Formats: sequence, C-alpha cells, structure tokens
Amino acid sequence: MPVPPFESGGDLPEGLHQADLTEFFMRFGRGTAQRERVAMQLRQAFELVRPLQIVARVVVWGSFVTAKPAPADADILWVTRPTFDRSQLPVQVEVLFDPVVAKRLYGIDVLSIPEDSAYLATLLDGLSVTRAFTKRGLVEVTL
Amino acid sequence: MIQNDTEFQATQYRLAQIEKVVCGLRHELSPRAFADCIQGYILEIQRMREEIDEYLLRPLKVSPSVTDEAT
Repeated sequence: MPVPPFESGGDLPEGLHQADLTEFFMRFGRGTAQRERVAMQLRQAFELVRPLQIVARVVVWGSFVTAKPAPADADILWVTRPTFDRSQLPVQVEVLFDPVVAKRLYGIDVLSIPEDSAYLATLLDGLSVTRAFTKRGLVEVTL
Repeated sequence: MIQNDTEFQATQYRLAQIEKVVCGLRHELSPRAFADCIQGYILEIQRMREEIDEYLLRPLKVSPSVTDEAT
C-alpha cells in the first residue's frame, strides 16, 4: 500500500506508513534543492547501514515526511536488530548512531531502539505528536 | 518555539513519552547498550525542556483592563 497523500495541514495521516527505499525517495526526495540535499544525505546514510544488516527498519519522522518544501534536516529512528553492537561497527557507520556526529556530517537527527523493545510503541506515539497536539503519520522504510 | 498552551501541552506529552522510553530502556538494555543509544534521547529531552522553560518564563501580555485595575 503506497504512502497516502498529505492531509490539508501538510502532514501524513496518522499511522506508520510503509515504504521501500525507491518509493521513499520518489515521494520525499524531490521538489526543491533543499529537499534533494537532505534526501541525498539520508540515502548515503542508508547505503552505509544497509549491507551490515544491523537495522531492521528505519522510521522517518519530522518535517522531511511532511509537505514542507524545504525541510532543514531529517529525523530518523534506527530500529536495530538483536545482534546490533555499536562497538563492533566500522567508524564510518558508527557515526550514524552518534547523534552529534550524525547531525554534523549528515544533517540527520538520530534515535535508536531495539526492534524487540516493549517501548517502541510508546516512542512512536511520542514522535507522532504535532505541535497542535494532533497525531501525524510516520514512515517506516525497509532497507 | 512554543507559541500557545496547546503547543505547550503537546510538548509536555511528547516529553513524557520519551522519558518513559528512556526509563524503560534502562531496564531492558545492558548498561553498555543503554549508554550507546541514550544520547539522542537526552538531546531531544533537553531541547523540549528548554522550549517548555522558555514558554513558561515568557511574560503574558497584560490586557488593558488589568492595567487599569492596577493603577
């Protein structure tokens, strides 16, 4: 099922919407130079992480998955596999799990949580709250 | 920046949810794994707390009738 259209306020409808990499970048990676720039950095990050199979999926939230033409950055949640061990990662990948360095190098705000955490739903609930105290959709990208 | 009480309540709610997650992860994860993943949450919590503090400390606009009563 494709990611649904934006609502009138520019957010996705409430829910966790699934997309593969191709659909994700077709939908959110085009439109303005700024959006394309953020998308390029996200793509680089995904391509570094994907071969290691340490991440089950990525949840993208915040302005990048809204209708905002020029999102300043992207906010992502790495949902990690049980085998994930940050200390074993090559440094080029490890920095993608360091919020300060990931922001500086790739312009992305990162969180991470194990896929089997009982608190994943609570986190997704918190991330979906808008400033207007409504709920907006998030996008789950399968790497 | 929080502009009104609705945005304030939304930020409070989001903060509470993320704090619950951090508290839960403390119990679920090994100390090392917890340390490895906590920094992003702490930054997010700090950012929201700063926004809340800034909003709460911002003076309310005083309506003319209140000013009249005070003088």
